[in-house]
Parts: sequence; C-alpha cells; structure tokens
Amino acid sequence: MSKNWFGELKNKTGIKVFTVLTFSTGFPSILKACAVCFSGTEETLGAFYLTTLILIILPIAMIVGVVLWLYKKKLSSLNHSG
Amino acid sequence: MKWSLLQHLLVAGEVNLENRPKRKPIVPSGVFGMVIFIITEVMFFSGLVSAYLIIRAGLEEWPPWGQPRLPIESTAFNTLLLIISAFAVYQSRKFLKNNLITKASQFHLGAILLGFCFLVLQGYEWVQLLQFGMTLSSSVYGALFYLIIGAHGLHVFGALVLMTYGFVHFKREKTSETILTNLLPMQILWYFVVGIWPLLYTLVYLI
Repeated sequence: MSKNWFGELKNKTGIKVFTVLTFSTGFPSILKACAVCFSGTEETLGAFYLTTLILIILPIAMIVGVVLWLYKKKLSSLNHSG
Repeated sequence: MKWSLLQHLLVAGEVNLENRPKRKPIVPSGVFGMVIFIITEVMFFSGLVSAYLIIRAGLEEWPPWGQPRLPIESTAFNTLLLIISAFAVYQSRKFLKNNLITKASQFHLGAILLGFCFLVLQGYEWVQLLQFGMTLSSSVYGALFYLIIGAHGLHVFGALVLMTYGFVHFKREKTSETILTNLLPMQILWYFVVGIWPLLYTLVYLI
C-alpha cells in the first residue's frame, strides 16, 4: 500500500466527518428523514415516532420478560429440589 | 514439554467428567430455542407493521383509488378457523396431560386440518384479488398487503409442516410426557402464528 492511498483515505474520512457534522449541526430537520418518510405530514411524523418507540421498547421488554421467566423457573426448580 | 494452563484444565475436566452430577436444564432446549426464534419473529412483524403504518399515514386516500376492497367477512371466517385450531392444540395438550394419547392426536390432527383450510381459503382470496387487478406492483396498497399477509401465510405454512412432523411423535413415542415435551416448541410456534393474525387482520383489513 502506498502512502498516497492512506492520504486519500484520510481525505475521504475528513470529507465524511465534515458532511456529518455540517448536516447534524446545520440542518437537523433533514436528519429526521428516513427511507419511508416520503411525506412531511403530521400524521406521518406521528406514526414514525410511535413505531420508533414501539420498536425500541418491544425488544427490551421481551428480553426482560424472558430473563424473568427463566429466573422464576430457576427459583421454582430450586424450591422443588430443596 | 511444559503443559499450558488450558491443557491442565482440559485434563482436569475429562477426569471429573464421569463424576459430574447430571444437570437438567430449567427449560428444555427446544422450547428455549423457539422462544428466542419467536422474539426475532415479533421484531420482524413489528418492522413490517411499522412500515405499513408510516406509509399509510402519509397517504390521503386508503385504500387508494381503483384498488379493490379486501374481503372482510370471508377473512373473518378464516380468522375463526385459525383461532379454533389454537383451541384444538390447547385441548390436545390437555388430553396429553391426562394420558389420553389417541384423543390428543385427533385434536392435533384437527388443528393441522384447520390450519390447512386457512391457507387454502387465503390462497383462494389471493386469486380473486389478483383477478381484480390488485398485484404486488399495482400500488403500495397491494405491495403492503401481499408482503404482510404473505409473510404470515409463509409462517403458517412453516408451522403446519412442523406440526405435521410433530404428529409422528404420537406414533413413535411411548409416554405422553415425552410427547408433551417434544411437541411444545412447535405448539408455541402455532400459538404465535395464530396470536399474531388477529392483529394483522385488524390492521390490514379492518382499520
């Protein structure tokens, strides 16, 4: 690998960082857009927030549920053996 | 030659292998695996439903103009068939717990047949919708319908294959306890497939 290659990569990374920083600080509303947010209506934004919330909470709730279920099973098996 | 710590540990483990007390898992491996699989399935369907809700919220007219209306009544009957099949599975488990293997197998078979009827009726409904011009590419309405309902249909088919395979256990296994344990993972999958359907039906057909 030549030195130029590293230099090029550095420059590209610099451009990426610059773009992300510019957009996140200068145009935060654009960053809210996602692949399915094709319309800017209030209903779409509401549905987007609601489903995002559900998709965040659901896996955590399920994992906590499974852990509690296993813990209960373990407790009951200990009670039976003890 | 110097022995590494890992080699010492391996030898120590092998020496104690026979004296080791047998550990029984708190949950059968098949059941635990199925629970993990269902968690991923819940997330899969949540993703589809999320996309559906967001796309739908952005459109003014739903269903879009020129697209056929979905058959609510016949699908309601189909929903009923699926729910009855879940009760048949529940009843089959109850009979197994009371050591009534023949009756349990009959109810298990009944659940499979009801599931099969559900798939056939869904297929018939799809053929009709295709004839009315509602295809995967006709509109976003058709695309979402075939994607969500098709994904569920595939799951029903997969669960049916498993349930049919499970039916062999009734002939092969001797005790009802082993049948109960072996059938549980596929029955959990069936409960999931049945349980998620009313939600999909309400979202796609009714609202």
